[in-house]
Amino acid sequence: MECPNIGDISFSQTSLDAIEDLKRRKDLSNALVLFSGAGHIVNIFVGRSSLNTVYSLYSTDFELLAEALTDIPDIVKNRIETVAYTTYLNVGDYKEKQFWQAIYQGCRLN
Amino acid sequence: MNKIILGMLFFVSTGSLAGDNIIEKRLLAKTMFDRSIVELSKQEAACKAERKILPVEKIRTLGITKKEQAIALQYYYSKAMLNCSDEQLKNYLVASALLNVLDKNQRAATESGNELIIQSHIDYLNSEIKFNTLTAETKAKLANVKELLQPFEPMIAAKALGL
Repeated sequence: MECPNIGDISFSQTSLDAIEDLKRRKDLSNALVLFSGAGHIVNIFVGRSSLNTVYSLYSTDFELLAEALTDIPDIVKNRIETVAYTTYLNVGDYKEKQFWQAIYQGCRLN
Repeated sequence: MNKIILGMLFFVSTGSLAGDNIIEKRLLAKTMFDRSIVELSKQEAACKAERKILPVEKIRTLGITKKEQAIALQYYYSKAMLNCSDEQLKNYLVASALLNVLDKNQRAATESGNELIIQSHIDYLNSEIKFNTLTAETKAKLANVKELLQPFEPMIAAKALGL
């Protein structure tokens, strides 16, 4: 799929909680030597202003994420996909759905 | 004198054996642990590869709300994926417990690993709590859709149902 240009997006509490969950899962995976390549799962969210703000997400952000995801062992990726899928079903906003679908699908580029 | 040397040799060799034994056990446990992760990963990949396209028309015609459809998809998907890799998950947990007992230095890794791996079960429990809010009638309708019991493509199903 093409990585979407979502533009400005305002995350709901459901999404913010899910992002925190992703970060936590990433931290857990870092402790395992086998998962040492998984250090950049959610770096897309690091270095931005604190959560609960409006973000601008463009396809380049997703390309970086997709690149990071290729290094992640499937076992971690599967647990990220579940969060993404569940959150997709639980948010109502179109842009948020777009965002979580992109995370779920890893924005695999053509 | 010979008896003393023989005694010392026996002591050293026994001590050495005991030391080798624990190191060997730790190595075997670590190998078992690493292998269990690989096996789990392989099985989860196989489960994903065998996901079918859900015949959403069957769900659409059940006469349940969109919210109920979303709850059902989350629950059945988690359940089907968990069942699919159940054996490998259990093997992982045994290997992890074994390594945890034998090697204190591995505890941080095994405990974090356990928490990560067990997320599948926690995700399932979360979905089950929501599923339990559905009426018996709705659950009975959903139980007739046998395809929900096998791994399915969740996002395709969600999109097809307009969720």
